[in-house]
Amino acid sequence: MKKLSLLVQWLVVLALAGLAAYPFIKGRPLPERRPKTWRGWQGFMVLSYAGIGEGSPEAYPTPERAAEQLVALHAAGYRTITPADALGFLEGRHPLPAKALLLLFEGGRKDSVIFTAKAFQKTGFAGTLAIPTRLLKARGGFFLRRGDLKRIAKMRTWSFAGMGHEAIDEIPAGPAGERGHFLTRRAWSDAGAESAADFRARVAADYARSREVLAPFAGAEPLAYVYPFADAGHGAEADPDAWTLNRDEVEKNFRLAFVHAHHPFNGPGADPYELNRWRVPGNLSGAELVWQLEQYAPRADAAGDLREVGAWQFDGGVRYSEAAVEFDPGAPAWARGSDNWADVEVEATLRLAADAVASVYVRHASPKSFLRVTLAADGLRVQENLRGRLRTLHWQPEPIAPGEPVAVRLRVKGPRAWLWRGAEAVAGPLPLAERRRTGRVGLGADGGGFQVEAFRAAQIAAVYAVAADLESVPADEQAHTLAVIAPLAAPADGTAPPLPHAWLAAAAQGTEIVPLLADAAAWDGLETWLRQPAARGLIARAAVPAPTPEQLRRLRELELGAIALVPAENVLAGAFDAALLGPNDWVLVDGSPEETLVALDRLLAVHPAHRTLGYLDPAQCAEWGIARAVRSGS
Amino acid sequence: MDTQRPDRTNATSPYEKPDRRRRARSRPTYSTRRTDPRYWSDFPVQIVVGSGKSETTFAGTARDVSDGGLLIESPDVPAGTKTVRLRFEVPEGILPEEYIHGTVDIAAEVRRHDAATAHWGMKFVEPLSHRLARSTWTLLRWAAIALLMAAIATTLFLKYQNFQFFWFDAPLFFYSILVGGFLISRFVFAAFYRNPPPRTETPPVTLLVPVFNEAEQIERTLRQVMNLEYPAGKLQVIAIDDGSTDGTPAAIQRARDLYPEIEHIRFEPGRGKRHALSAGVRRATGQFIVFIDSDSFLEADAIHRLLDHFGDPEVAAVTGHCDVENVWTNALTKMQSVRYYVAFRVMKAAESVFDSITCLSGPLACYRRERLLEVLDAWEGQTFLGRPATFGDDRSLTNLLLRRGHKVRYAEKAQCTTIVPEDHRTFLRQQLRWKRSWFRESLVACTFMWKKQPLMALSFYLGFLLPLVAPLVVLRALVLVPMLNAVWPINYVAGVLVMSAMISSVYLLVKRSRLWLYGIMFCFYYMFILVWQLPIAVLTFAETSWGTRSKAEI
Repeated sequence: MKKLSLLVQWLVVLALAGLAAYPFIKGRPLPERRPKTWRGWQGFMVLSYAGIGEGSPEAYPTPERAAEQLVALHAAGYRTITPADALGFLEGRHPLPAKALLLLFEGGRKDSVIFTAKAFQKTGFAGTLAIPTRLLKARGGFFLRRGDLKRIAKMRTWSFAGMGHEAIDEIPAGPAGERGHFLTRRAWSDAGAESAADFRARVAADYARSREVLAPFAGAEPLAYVYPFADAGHGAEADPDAWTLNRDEVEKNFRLAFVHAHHPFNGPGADPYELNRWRVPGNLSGAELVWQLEQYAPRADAAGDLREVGAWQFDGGVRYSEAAVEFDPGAPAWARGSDNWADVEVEATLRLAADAVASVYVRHASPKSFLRVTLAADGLRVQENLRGRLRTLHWQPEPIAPGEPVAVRLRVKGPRAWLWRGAEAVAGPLPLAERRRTGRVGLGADGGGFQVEAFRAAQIAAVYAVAADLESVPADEQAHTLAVIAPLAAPADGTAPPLPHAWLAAAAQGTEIVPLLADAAAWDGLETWLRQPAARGLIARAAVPAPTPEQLRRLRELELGAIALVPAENVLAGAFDAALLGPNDWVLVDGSPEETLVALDRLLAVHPAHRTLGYLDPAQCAEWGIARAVRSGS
Repeated sequence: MDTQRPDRTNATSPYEKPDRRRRARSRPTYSTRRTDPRYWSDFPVQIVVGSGKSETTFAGTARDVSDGGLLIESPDVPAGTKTVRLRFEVPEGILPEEYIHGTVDIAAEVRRHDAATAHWGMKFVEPLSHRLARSTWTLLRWAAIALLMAAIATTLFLKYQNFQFFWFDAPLFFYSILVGGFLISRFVFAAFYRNPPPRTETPPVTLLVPVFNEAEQIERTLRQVMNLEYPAGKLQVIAIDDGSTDGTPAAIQRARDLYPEIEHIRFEPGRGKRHALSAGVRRATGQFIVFIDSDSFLEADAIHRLLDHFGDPEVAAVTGHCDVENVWTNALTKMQSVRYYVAFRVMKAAESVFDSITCLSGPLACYRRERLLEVLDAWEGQTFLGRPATFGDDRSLTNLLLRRGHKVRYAEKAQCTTIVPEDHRTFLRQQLRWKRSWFRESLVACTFMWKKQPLMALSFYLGFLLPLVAPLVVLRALVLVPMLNAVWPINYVAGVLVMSAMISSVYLLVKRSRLWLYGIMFCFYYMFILVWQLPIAVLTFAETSWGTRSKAEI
């Protein structure tokens, strides 16, 4: 009996010891991560959690709800990435999982780590903790501390992102006791508002301190920054210098910045310092969250019916009537899935309220980067915003009466835009500052509301034509042709004649001429052409069949990008090294559709889809995210 | 009437009426007629004679009370009355705690009437205990079970939350889980405690009563000792006066006048309790030697119940169960009453399951003579940091026995009571001294307890470490966090409340006493006051002085 008692006691003690030791010896499964299988070049979603806990279900999910959401995301095929992955993707260095997801947990809260632990183990997910470094010294057990970060860093499940040091604080921002965001308002004291220099110094110090405090735990320099309050200086309350100042400072200290908090998708053309994230509502079920996220996935079809709620993101008041959809001022609507759209045609019929200024946006990458048509009482405008500088490309000073239906059509292709009012061509081709910027399509208004009677937006089925010239491209394709890859012959006498009229005409229509350097003579001819200053503005890239490293180097010396014409069999045989290509170089996979598809599967592991061409049908191109190439006469 | 009837004007504890007929079975005057003890009393009783229109109520005074009836002094009740109805409320301290539950209205029959003294012997139609068992005690038992279940459920929930939120505050939650686990484990272990079957042997026993300035209690203590149910020829009683300077020698002499067989040793000047007991041991002739304190009052069968445990030859010593004698004095003594009960019936019982009581308590402990002699010299000559050890005698003696691998047990049914401090100053001094000796002797025990049974060893080391950390945890929870984070320690206080409710509910369940609430009060008293003595005790544990040695501190 005594022996049995001792045996039982030892078993109990061993069980207790095992229980106590279990958390330390069980090991932590590493996040699921198989970069070799990644082929996604469409973009990535960013979900942001402000916390996990009880008591505020709309703001924060409960631990159970958060776990449900994460498991549902995994089941739906989402796979997590790190800020380093996102940076590599945005720089075109590597693809991402087909459904790439970056999970942000803001505020440096301990609950984020504790309550996701099980779900992370179950799903193989990894997350990114955005740490306001001042809180590392906060007393109590609510926030992560330095020791916690050390332990967490060893888990390899977490990455760290900056969230400022004191940037999470509000500061005195006005004489009447107003408070404002640390990064975007000038601090107010008895002596008045701080000077521009002091403002810059204070903000700059906060970015630097955030990076310095976080660096020892991030393993290297922290890559990402998450803006507190999603305020990088875009807002109306922000100081006029705030956006530029913050942009400058964040670029000095970080490589990525998550700014906006109402949109999860970031495409390959996204500005690394204007990235989107979406605050996950705590009360969404896992299935609802997946459904919501799917709506933001890149879409190939047209965006039209504003009553199709899932296809649109509304940020404010919108009302439906039989005849129209009515918007309040300051209540934009965005076509979900249009973030990667570059070449677009939009048609809209609007009625303005008094004092309203309605806008139709395309290529909207951020509040500081977009192209739009505005409708106001004094007429139509085409405006381009580039890093906060808004310039009017065209103004048609024909008044628009309140309630008057106005049909506008905007086409954007490459570096050109065209505008129609009704059937009348108002402007175009208007030169755009950037050759190819992507961004979403949307609607919005200031000053008053507006009604939308009809709306349709669709991508232009743009093609790269391999042809003698634009004239050789089939007529129905000419309007969609972004570039013509044309054989280049050397001038007979070694001196370049005037530029061909066809080149100039094509360029005026936004069609790029890409010389095809098929032989040594063509190379000589290219250099001859480039001696003409006008040609410099026309020729930005050259196409080279199966280029050698020397040829690519030569093109870089000529400050030209390359389109490498690579036979599909070369890709499959490993005879083509995409690593030789520069960040502006493209690849045209030359082969039958079957060969091309197989070659793409290999090529897209190392080369961005949006810099790849193939002789495929539009649906296949959309599926793979590549641009379509056509041969002359095809 | 008994000429030694005490003044019960300010009585604070049941004062059992000496009854020589219940004395040792070996004595010729032994009687089994009365099975329940009788208690001195002087509370008013209403005596209702007759019924209906002829009903008349007379006033009387209860002179003694038992479970079965009252002895009432009432000159007004008509002679020849046979049956009456009695209404009375038993004041605190007259009967044991479980009887103190408000007004009693019960029929009784007259069993004896002494017209000369106007005394009426009344027998209740049913014993009070039967009546209480049908109503109040049943209700209290279910209430206690419900409270216990609720407390356990809440505790488990809190512990679950501790696990859930563990990494939010790992040190605090680790401590909390350990404390909860420790307490619950002690309750679980205690549930396995079993009393051994009674033994009929009556080996020679020597009972030692060390005394120092206990003039008020020693006579009563000795008289009660002499009334123990044990054969007179086999019970040697030695009173050792360690240089008392008050009326103690005279009090001992009065007891010896009644019971000449009491032996007496006197040190002058005093040499300390340890030397007094050692001298007693050397004179003792008994096969078993019982130590009691000079203010310990033993139940009649206490020695028998101690000896029951010595059926196992490996048992070297057994400690009895001690309750508070002066329980009704004030809130402090009531708190101590609950604390004593839990300390013995839960903590010591849990240790006894592993035959490793860590402290054979001073009020009542019995040693096998040869085992005691093995360690006597070492015990008497114990020094600490080069100075003689002058307190913590019981713990150090226990350690000596445990170190040699002997079994040391607790006897629940060997019951006694003791006088506890009635004012905070004395109580705090006593507690500080106990903590010093606890720390010192626990350090010693740390060197060998790992050899004991695994769960006992684990429990011992936890029981040593957790109280040491407690002041830091309390400081953090009650002071630092509220001050620095402006967060009220509601969860912490709630946790203490639940744990204390769990402890107190056991008292309510077993003792059926309304004093259980004082257990909760004591937990908070500990948290706010006593816990701060630990750092002091740890820092001054090498000190050998008693502070001031006075009655009711031993």
